[in-house]
Amino acid sequence: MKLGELSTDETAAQLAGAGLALETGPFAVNLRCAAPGAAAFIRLLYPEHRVATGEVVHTDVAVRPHFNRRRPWRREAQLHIDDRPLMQALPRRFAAPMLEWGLNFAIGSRAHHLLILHAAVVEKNGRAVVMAAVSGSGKSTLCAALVSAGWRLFSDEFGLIRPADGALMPVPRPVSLKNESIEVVRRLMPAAVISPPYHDTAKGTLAYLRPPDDAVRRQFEPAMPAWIVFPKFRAGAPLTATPVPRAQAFADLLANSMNYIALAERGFAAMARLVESCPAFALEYSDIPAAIAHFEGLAAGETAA
Amino acid sequence: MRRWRVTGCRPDLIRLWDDQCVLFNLSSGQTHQLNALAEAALRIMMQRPMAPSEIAEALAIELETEADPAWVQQFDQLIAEFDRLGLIEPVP
Repeated sequence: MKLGELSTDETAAQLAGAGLALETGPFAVNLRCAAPGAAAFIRLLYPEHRVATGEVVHTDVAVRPHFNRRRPWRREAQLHIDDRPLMQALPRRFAAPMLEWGLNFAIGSRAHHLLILHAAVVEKNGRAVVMAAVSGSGKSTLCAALVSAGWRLFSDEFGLIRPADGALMPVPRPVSLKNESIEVVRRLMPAAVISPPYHDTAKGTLAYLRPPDDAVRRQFEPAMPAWIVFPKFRAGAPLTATPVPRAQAFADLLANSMNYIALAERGFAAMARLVESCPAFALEYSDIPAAIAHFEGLAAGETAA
Repeated sequence: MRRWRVTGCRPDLIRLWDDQCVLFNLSSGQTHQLNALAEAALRIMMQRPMAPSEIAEALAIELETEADPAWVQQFDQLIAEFDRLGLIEPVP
């Protein structure tokens, strides 16, 4: 059953009760949150995702009301992963996006059967681009722009590499848009579904772009990596694509890996296979259409990486 | 003459790309970048335990260079660095 087939009331009842188990790529995560607006948030962003049948649920993500003893007038919420509190309590108006943050944490801290990169991944014609970068590099904006140009969304946050064969596993979830990029993406994708903005978060204003239905329907379809990109948005900069030597690409990917050390030899082998199988380049850009054209050239085989 | 053997790496955990080497250190779980000469020294030590002077001599022949004192001395430093990283240990 798809989550969108549940009514808002049914969704809210599950979220407030035993939880709503959601299949997202290779994960089944149980979500719990009784806060007003959480059900609408989840239904808005995950209508095509399947509700897990419950046999295997990897992690429990719960957002619960939190009583602040020193400031009892504050209405706060606390994120819990597998019943353990995580990070400080936040204003309860962030309860719905806290489910997203909890999902990110659950995937990033639990999925040690996969090598996890902090990277956006999109795919076209069976070939995937791994865009690794720290927050604030314009990675999610570029990812959304490529999705608007027909690239399949794997993730704007996680490059999930299967060590056995080096394949990238999709985990298509809402794309996290920050500050100016919200309007940029709205202009690029006028028909896109974007959540209400959440102001004054630690990263400024956040909004979430619903993943395309096709990306969700194909969420169990991996692809092999074809390019490694280290994107960097710089206002006014002309587009430049500078090749990155393999040893440097390895080091840069290492800096963007969440669990390389936990995987030990398997992590090394998976990372080495990745840099040996793909050209890597540092992409500096400011103009979104020019960046899209560059990637289209790569996909068409017209642009040398 | 003190000889050293490699205990923290295997040939399949070394990649040499252009003149830069990346290797996984089994002892520490760390990943290191080495230059091509250090990689060559480590590889040759994987064949059998060696002293710094023996590594210097073997690589001088392989690379067709003169094993002068400065050349030999750099392998003393290299062995000390490998030891510090936990890649090698002395043979009793």
